[in-house]
Amino acid sequence: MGGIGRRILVVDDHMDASETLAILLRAAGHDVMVARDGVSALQNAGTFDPDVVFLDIGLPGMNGFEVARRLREKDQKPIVVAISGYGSHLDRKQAQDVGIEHYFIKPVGLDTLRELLATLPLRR
Amino acid sequence: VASPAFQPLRSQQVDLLLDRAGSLLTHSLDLPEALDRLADLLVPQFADWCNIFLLDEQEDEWRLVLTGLADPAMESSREQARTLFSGWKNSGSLTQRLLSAGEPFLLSDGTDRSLRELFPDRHRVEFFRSLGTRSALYLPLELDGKTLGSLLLLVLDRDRARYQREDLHAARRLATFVAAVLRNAKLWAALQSELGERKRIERSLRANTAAMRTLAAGLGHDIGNLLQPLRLRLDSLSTMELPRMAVADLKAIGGVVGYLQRLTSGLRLLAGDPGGEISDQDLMPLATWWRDVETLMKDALPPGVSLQADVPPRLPPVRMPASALTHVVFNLVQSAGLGTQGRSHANVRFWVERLPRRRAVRIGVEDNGPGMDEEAVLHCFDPLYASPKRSAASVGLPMVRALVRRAGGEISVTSRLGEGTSFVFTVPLAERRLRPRRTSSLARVARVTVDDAPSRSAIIASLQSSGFYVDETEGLLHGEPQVWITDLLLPDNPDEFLEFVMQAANRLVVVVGGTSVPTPHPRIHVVAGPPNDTQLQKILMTFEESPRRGPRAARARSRSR
Repeated sequence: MGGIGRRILVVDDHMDASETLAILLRAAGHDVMVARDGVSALQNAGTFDPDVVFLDIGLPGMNGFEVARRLREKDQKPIVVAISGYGSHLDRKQAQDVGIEHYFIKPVGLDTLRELLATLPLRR
Repeated sequence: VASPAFQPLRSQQVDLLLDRAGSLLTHSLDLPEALDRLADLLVPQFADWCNIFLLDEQEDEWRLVLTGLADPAMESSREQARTLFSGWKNSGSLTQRLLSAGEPFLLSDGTDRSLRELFPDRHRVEFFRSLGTRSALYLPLELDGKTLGSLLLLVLDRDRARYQREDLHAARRLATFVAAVLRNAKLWAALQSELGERKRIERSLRANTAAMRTLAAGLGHDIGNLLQPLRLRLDSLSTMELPRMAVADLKAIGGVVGYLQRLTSGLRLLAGDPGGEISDQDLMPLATWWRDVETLMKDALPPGVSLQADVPPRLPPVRMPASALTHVVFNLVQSAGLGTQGRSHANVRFWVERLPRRRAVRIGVEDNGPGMDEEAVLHCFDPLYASPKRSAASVGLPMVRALVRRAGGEISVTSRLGEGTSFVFTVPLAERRLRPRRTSSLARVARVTVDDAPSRSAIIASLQSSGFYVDETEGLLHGEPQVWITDLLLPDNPDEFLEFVMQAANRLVVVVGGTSVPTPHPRIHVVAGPPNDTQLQKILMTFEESPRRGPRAARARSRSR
């Protein structure tokens, strides 16, 4: 999926969604790590150093906006792509404010993610 | 020497009272306070005792609302009067005479015989005799031909002159003034009551709406979460070689997923704040909006009621938040469905048309239900009008009208008993930014408003690989793009494209899915279908060769070399 292999962190508390996405991304040659909540996402981001983070917004505890905001504070600045069940104007605005570059509403199709990965710059 | 009641100062006194009427009327419109002030004006100036009765038409009885007395020692009589006149029916010779003739009644002495003429029952005669009544005036309180109540003035004090026939003229003026005060106070009280009721209903509607929005947001979120892995798996499986049966199964599952996906789109719009401000995200073609909400609308109808939609594919966005539009149409469709339920061939029709001479669209929701009577049509937007068919979950017709008006539109209703009801509202089209700043020649910004998601993604990818910053906002001419790729062809309004390209010299419009534009222009490029990467690069390259004169000029130069 998406040509060149990338390091991708998938953050979603919905296990079936995160595992399915991880399997398909791995099958496409990407290096994938899965996190189920915001705190472990930030911990993993520190060690895994992802190029891209597919981030759910409605996470337990620390929500996706806060995770994105903290990711922006790190030295490595991965491209953050929200994949959320919510999609109001306020959600999108808030996503923009915390540096989320792309915002998709679930369910997002495989082709869309594939094309996105193909067009994303290799590394910031 | 007895002091006159009205005699020497009759007119002057009433004039003085009327002078004070202004302050009385404007100082407070509160009914109890107005009554207290009336008592202060009437007693002891014109009487030693006064009563005001209001006519309760519903109960057909007089209600004693005021007892004014000059002598504080008579306080116990006030309570006695309240008991005596409790539930005083609108019957008896005098009250009927007052109502029919509208004439004041003068009791020039306090004999039992006279008192019996005023009050036919023994208890009341005894009561007024016990007060020491020497004379009485009983006046209807009328205004604009309507009897509001009556006023009773008594002379008790031996130092005060009895009422006489000469007093009647001044007494009538006095009664008119009292009636005006009472009517204003009653109107004010009714208004306050209505305002309070409206506020209560508004709060209730808001609470209902908020509950529905929360539910819709939660459902949309949860269904989206469930669909996400399904969508990914289906997409992945669709690229594999599978047995024919499995392909058929996948197609069926894909159909269900697609249906649920459209339902979640509608739920998300229903979850949005209908009173929120319009944003660029709202600026989607109406057909795109309808695609997102159609499933939701169908699901809002009761079993047996069908939904027929007529939404032209090329209508531009309207100046109304998508969420507000969803709430308005959802409410109208749902109400129509509830009204039509149970009838044979029950049908709700939703239609949209562009108003040719205005930058607006007209949207209608019609049903073939039982229709509404004149009373219901007249009051259907009134929050105080309770319709038994109104759904508790909907925002209600009053809020529908408020949302339409907020967007600068208007709504009307026509209905025929036995034939059906039609709600029609107008909404202005989204405004265009007419004079944006001149685009920098170095900026490479593209706007893509293509409805089909895969085509849109492919075009965006192609533009990005050419170094364009792509703005995916589905607005029309906001921002400063150099290239606008759109499937929004407006055959009757080519001005949209021309205006865009004329605003800056180096602009290009690529119309996807068109065969021609009514007014050809060198910087409007028409392609039959979504351009692939090669085609798009070619268009962009040709255009950029001659940014000031456009691709046709570039081709012409190329031929002339």
